[in-house]
Amino acid sequence: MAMMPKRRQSKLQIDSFYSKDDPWGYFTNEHDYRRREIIVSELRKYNLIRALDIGCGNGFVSEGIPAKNVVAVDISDAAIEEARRRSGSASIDYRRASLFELPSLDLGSFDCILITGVIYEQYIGKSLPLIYQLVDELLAPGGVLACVHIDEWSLARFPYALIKTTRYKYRQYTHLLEVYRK
Amino acid sequence: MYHKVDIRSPTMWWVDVSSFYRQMCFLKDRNVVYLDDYDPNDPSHVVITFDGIYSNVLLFAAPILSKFRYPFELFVSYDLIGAENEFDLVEPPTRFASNKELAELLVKGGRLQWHTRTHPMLSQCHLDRTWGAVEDELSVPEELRDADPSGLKWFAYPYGEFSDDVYEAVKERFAGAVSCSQGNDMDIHKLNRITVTNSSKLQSKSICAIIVSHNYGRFLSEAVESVLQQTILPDRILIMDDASEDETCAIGKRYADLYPELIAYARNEQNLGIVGTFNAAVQLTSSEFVCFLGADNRLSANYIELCIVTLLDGKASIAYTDFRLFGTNAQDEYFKHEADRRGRIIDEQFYEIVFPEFRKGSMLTGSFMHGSSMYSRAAFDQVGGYLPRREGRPEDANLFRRMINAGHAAQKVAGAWLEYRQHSVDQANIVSRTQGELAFYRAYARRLEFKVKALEASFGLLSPVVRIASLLEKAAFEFIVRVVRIWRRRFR
Repeated sequence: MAMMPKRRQSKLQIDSFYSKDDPWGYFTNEHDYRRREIIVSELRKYNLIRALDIGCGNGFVSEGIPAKNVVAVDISDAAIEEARRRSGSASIDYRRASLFELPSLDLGSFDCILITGVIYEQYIGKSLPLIYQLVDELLAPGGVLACVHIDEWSLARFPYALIKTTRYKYRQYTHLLEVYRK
Repeated sequence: MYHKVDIRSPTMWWVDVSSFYRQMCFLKDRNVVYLDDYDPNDPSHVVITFDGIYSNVLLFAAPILSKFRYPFELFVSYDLIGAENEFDLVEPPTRFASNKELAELLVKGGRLQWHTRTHPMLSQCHLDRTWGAVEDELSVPEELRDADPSGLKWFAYPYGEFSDDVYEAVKERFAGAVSCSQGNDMDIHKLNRITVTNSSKLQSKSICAIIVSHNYGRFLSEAVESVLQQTILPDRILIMDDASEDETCAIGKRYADLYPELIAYARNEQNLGIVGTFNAAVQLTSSEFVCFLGADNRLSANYIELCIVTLLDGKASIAYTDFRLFGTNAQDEYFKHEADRRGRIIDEQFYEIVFPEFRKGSMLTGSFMHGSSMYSRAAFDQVGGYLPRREGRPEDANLFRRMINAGHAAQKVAGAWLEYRQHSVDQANIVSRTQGELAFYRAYARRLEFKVKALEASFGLLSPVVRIASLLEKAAFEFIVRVVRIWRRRFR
């Protein structure tokens, strides 16, 4: 079993990690292309107008989200800079913000929210009730919430109808994709 | 009194977000007020105060305070606005809120109050320096007064300490003052404060969730996990095993080992059925609020929070929600409910069943609320707990009906926050509903027989026409019952 990092990761550490392009190697790893295809094909089932991608990193998945308008956020300035540089889509609005800073952006509501690799102990500590609250304030009634996390480290169970779970091999882990309907 | 609210609590001066959220939920039965409105003689009054003020209060506490619409007081140390806490060598690094962040906190219901310029120990300040230094610490700059014209009438003694002359000086300048160490509950210029930590309980009433399994071991861990994932954890979880012959015992004991402070496992050696098991389970708990969960069902993560927040003010003794059916028989079961009870269908997997709003004197027929409704233990004790099933009347609905008839109120929580698995025609709710229909048909048959007898009595000797009409009506009814039975056998 892979050990989850326990120590809190600061924004500075995350920025330092993103100081080189594609630090996770998304663009060179077949597991990530497969991961993106699984997420995007799941989201294609819904007629999405406005989507929010929380924890977008360098925009590897954001670019494929099948919505007319996408707002993609990440805590790291460096990751957002890279995402903007790589982006070929004018319909994606990349913003720097942590999940907890989202209320200050006044983003309005979304019919889809994608959260990737954010709800881990080292990032969110003991704050799940607030995360549920913040996501609920942003997700429109009937909206779709997709969460993608390493299965063993997954913490959240949002108070919506869990309409689909998919597990797939991802690098040395098993990834869990959960799709909820509000 | 809070200092820092953050995702972690490295020292006692930090409260983690989950604990803060729980504490705010548990103030729902109190009257949260500003200090200006605080009456020390009113036990329902509570004032939420922060010292510092640290920027994490805006990020992590303010959204929660806004959700609950609580006012709060911000005791500002003026020279620390926007600064790092480098001087505080024992505390992990963090930043004080900037003027802009303080302004945002005011928009969210905060009110500025005074906590000196530099946060000195005031009596020592007097000894080390001059009295003028103390006066300087107590004087509020005009620009801060301009930022919050309603505030800055109250003072918080740094470290909670003061000498007699400091106390007198504060009395001259402020409408009131608070202390975390030298206060009392009577003197408005040295009111007591409570230092809140993660473990502080702001509510004396406790909650017990009871998960009952009779050979539902294959679903049990899902039910337990759904309780463990609650935004407000119950104080106690009891896994009640009604003489299961499957893996219930192993799973229940395992959870009790994993969470010895939270989870208990109890087993009936002989199958007691619903009434015996439920009553025995409640007797094993001492909590003021109880809710049952069938081991084959699941709670949404906010279920206990929504129910307890509804019950805390004491206006209702039962809190209930709508629920979502799921599982292989969910669709069939959904369409067996009356049209006005059928709610949203979610992706052809979840089928919401809607319960009516409770009103005093409303008809309490059938299942008017579900069996996982949270209720007060006192109401349970008052009516003598669960009673054996009467045909068509589930034990839980019967209990709630008796509670209501005894004068207790129920309160509906909007939304479907219970997930109710539909997997077997033998499960309790389906058996109950079938028995209910049977009871209805029996009552109808009795009514027809009574009608025939009444007619016979009124005519003395029943005229052949009336007799034939009655017999035809009865035959038609029996034919309908037969068709319904055949239909059920074929399509279930």
